Amino acid sequence: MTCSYRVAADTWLGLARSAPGAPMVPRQRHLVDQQAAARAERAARAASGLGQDHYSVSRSHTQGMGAAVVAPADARLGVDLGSIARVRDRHATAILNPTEWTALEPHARIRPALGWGLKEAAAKASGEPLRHFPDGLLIEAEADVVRVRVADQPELCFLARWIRFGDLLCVWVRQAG
Amino acid sequence: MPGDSPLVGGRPLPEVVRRIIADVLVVALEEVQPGKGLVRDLGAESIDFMDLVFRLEDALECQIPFPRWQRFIEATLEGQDLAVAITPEVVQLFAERELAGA
Repeated sequence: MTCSYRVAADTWLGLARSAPGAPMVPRQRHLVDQQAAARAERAARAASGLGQDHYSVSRSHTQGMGAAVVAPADARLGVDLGSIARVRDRHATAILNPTEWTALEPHARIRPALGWGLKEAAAKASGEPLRHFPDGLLIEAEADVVRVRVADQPELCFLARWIRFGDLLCVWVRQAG
Repeated sequence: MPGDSPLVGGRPLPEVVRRIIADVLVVALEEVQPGKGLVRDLGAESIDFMDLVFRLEDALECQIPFPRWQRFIEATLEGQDLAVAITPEVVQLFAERELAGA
C-alpha cells in the first residue's frame, strides 16, 4: 500500500506499508521499514511535482510502515510515525512539562503519543535533534492550532498536524510562515 | 577484564546493560554483541532509547534525566551515523559514567 495526500498548499504526505511477510530479524525489519519510508517519499514527491533537486523531505518509519513529508526545497519540516500504545505516561512525564501536558488536554485519547510525536517531528525540523529534544522544544496550543517553538530560537516555530491510522499516529510539523 | 567491572545488584555492569538492551529491544541476549548497531542491527527506535534510560535508572537506582543521554550521545558520537554508532559498548560507557556520578 502506498498513497499520498496534499496536506497544505505546498506540503505533501506520503505513506507506505510493507506487505506482511515471514518474521524477520531486527536488521531485516529495519531495512524493510526504511524501504517503506523511501516509497512514501517517492509517492509524496511524485504528487508534489517538485523536481529531484528541489524539495525538502523528512522521513519516519515503524512496524513496516513509512511516512514522508515533502515541501519545496527551502522548507523546514519534520515527521514522526509511532505507535500510540507504545508511548506511556512515564515517557510523557519525561518529555512534557505541566503546561504542555495541559495544552494537549483536548487530545486526551492520544495525549502521550501526540506529545512524543510533536517533539520528535519538531526536533528533526530544528536540524539539531539531539540538542533540542525534548526540553528545548515547547508545545503551544490555541484552539485547534498546535505549534512547537524552539526554546532558544523563539522565532523558529513549527505548525503541527497529525493523522491517526489505528494504533499509529503520524505527526508532522512545518515552519510557520 | 570482567573482574574490573562495577557490580550492580550483585552482577557485573556489562551483563546488566546487555540484559537491559535485550529486554527493551525484545531480542535474544545472544543478539546483543559488541559492535552491533542498536538501530541498524537490533531494530531500536527513538522511544526505545528512553526506555533504556528508564531501565538504567531503575537498575542503577539513580535519576537520569533523558537530556543527559542526548548530551552524551551528541558529545561522544558527534558526526557519526547513529544507526550504527550506538552500540552496547556506548550504552555501557554511559551507564559507567552515570554510576560514577551517582
